[in-house]
Amino acid sequence: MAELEALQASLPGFEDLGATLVGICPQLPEHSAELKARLGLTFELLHDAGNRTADAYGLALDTPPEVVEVERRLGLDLPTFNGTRDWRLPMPASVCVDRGGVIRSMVAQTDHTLRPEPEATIERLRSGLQT
Amino acid sequence: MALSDTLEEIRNAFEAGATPREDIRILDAHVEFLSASGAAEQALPEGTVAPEFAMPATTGATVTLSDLRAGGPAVLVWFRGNW
Repeated sequence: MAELEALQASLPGFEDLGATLVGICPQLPEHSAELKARLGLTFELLHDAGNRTADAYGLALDTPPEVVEVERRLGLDLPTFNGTRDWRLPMPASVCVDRGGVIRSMVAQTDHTLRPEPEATIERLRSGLQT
Repeated sequence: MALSDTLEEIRNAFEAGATPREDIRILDAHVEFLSASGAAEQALPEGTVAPEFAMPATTGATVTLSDLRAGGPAVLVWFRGNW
């Protein structure tokens, strides 16, 4: 969970801009609660049950059968972990929404091994606030 | 260290680990397929209205987008899970 730790380390940068950061994940809340405590996160993690909010933002993806098989071999039982019957997942994404409710930046990754740098998100937030 | 460096170390450790080459190939092929299919472009574009939501936090409290952006911008970071 390198990304969440990096976000925690950069949290003052978000707060300086008056921004509120949250993590969003389809896993059951008990897993997010454990993660939050283990990493000492001071921002909240929200439970996106069934990826409904990810769907609304165009971020939910299906997992093809051959990938499901690999994930199972790696020991992941996603439906149990998420309390769902499917293997859908969100694309990792960073979304900045202004006070008026308009999306000012959207960075979605199809390669789950990549993430936006927190400092780059802060920079996008800063430039979005000026427009 | 930049987040990208940490992620690269994780990636290298995964490739050097016990996961069969064929499984790594299947995962890589899926990532390539997603990139080629333009899946990232289905995400809502900048300038559109962010859909309102209400989701439970780990505290049990319900958090809405309106709450989050009441005092300033909101930054929403999607992640896949602890695993």
